Amino acid sequence: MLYITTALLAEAKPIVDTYKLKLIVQAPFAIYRGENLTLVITGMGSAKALMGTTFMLTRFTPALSDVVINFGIVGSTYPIGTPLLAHSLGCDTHTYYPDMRVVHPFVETALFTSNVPHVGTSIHESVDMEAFYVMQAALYFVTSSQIAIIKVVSDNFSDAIPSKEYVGALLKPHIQDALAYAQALEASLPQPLMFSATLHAQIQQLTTALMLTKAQQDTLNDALKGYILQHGKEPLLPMHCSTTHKKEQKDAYAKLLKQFFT
Amino acid sequence: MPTPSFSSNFLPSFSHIYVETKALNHPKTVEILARFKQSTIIEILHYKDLFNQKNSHFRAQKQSPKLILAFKEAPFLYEGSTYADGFGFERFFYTPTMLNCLYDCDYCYLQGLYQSAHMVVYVNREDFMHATVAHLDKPTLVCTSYDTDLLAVENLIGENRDWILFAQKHPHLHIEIRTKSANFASIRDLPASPQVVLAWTLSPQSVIDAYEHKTPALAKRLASIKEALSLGWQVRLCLDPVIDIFDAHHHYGAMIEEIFSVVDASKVFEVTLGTFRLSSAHLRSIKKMQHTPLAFYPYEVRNHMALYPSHVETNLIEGLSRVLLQHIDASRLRVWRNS
Repeated sequence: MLYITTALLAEAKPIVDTYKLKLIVQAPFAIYRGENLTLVITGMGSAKALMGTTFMLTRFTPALSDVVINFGIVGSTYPIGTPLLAHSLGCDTHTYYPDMRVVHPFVETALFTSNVPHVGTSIHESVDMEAFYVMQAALYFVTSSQIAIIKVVSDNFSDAIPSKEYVGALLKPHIQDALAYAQALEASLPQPLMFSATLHAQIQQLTTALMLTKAQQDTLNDALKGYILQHGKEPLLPMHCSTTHKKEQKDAYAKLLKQFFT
Repeated sequence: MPTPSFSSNFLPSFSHIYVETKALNHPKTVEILARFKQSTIIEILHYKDLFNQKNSHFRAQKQSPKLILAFKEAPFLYEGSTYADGFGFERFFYTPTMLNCLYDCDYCYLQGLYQSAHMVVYVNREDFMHATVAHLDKPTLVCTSYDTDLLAVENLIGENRDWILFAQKHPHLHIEIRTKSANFASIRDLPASPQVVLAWTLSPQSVIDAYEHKTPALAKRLASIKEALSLGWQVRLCLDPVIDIFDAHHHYGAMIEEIFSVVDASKVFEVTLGTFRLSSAHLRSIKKMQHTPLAFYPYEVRNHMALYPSHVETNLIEGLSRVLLQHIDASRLRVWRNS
């Protein structure tokens, strides 16, 4: 699942339209959803970025293999229309560093998040009003390897307010690359080890049949994880008839473990 | 949804180099950066802002680790760990001049020690050396390649060279350089020093293939060892950690025979032998990563250390000692026993 945050409806609209996302939550923050895509419109500024991101990621808890991207427009020294990927996200007091692991087609930038627009000139290469806080909030839910900030230059520190149409036209050509990058990040993340439903059922049967204690269950789970990592597949657990005989339970358990630890 | 046009093509290691503001103009920084002309250089205020960043993903970062050049503040020397051998020296320190490793060994404690897989190089190594001088009124062992493998990156940072030259001026300073690399060539031109021990960790090729990712093959390590010995260097062979793999005696026994078919046993300074051990806290962290079967072995935990059960350790140590003693005398075999 890709989780996207934008500050403005105008930034979200090209994605919503392209992927036919449905509005599923209206307030306090609009959330759109489609196949493998969830998008929140946070509003502008630090507080809204924090709250909107947190709202989406609380409502739809991301998995270890999910990615969060902040997408939108930015003021920058780069030419208008340049797609940017932030390698660092600063604010007045701290800087975050999203992981740069995967090959991408963007221009990399140091992005500074400010609560006030930088007009005319800036000591920073690129400036927006949300990215730092999106990452700050997202880090409570996902790792730094699961976050990307992708922006398109809308102005060179001008104070003109861009029209919705202008924003849409700027962003639309870069949506596919942005989402493809997010998918590449997603695909590159080490996948968490999950037991299949069949194995779960087998473990449950064994736990009941052999009256396994919590500690014994934990050891068995460890043994199974080790086996899967070693062999790349799940083992077939033997079925056991229920027994209340302590020695039989103990012997069967020991035999079972030996099977996986050798 | 679009099909990724650049799916999972990882950027090369060190594609980005983060440099602390304080380290930016240090001569070592300038020297190192000159070797990375293709990398993106990013200035950072403090290395911990990145290295200790909340919620880092060690395994993901290991896919494309970055280099961080930083300026270390005191302390520069640390007492040797109780899990490591001090080789009889009354004073045993290690100098963490670099954090993390180019290699990616499944059993390595570094995965549990740090959140980040990026490599930190402290450029002010003169401060580490200055701190060492204060302890050199009597023989002192300093392990310079402790939380890392310095020889593996010698061509990039030149750290071993500096320490070996430094030791030439301080007769009480004894250095152990622990490595799995096959990069002896990077220090070949230096004169062999009786104060420096080059310590190679050796494992059967099957263990290297399964658990020592990105490390050189056994044959390449042996070639480096052979060359170092031929030039008069002291070489310690470290069969440590021995991993309890299926048919371990066969694999390790065959490796020992291979070692001494290449290496002249009479020239080897000593051999160390020890089974896998890890602090239980680090093991817990590695388990969470769900990356290696080694993390899920049924270890026994004693004194906060995860160890093989005594009978497994004894069996491995005694069996392999017997094989080693066919090649070297007992005085040159150091065995680390947990039980």
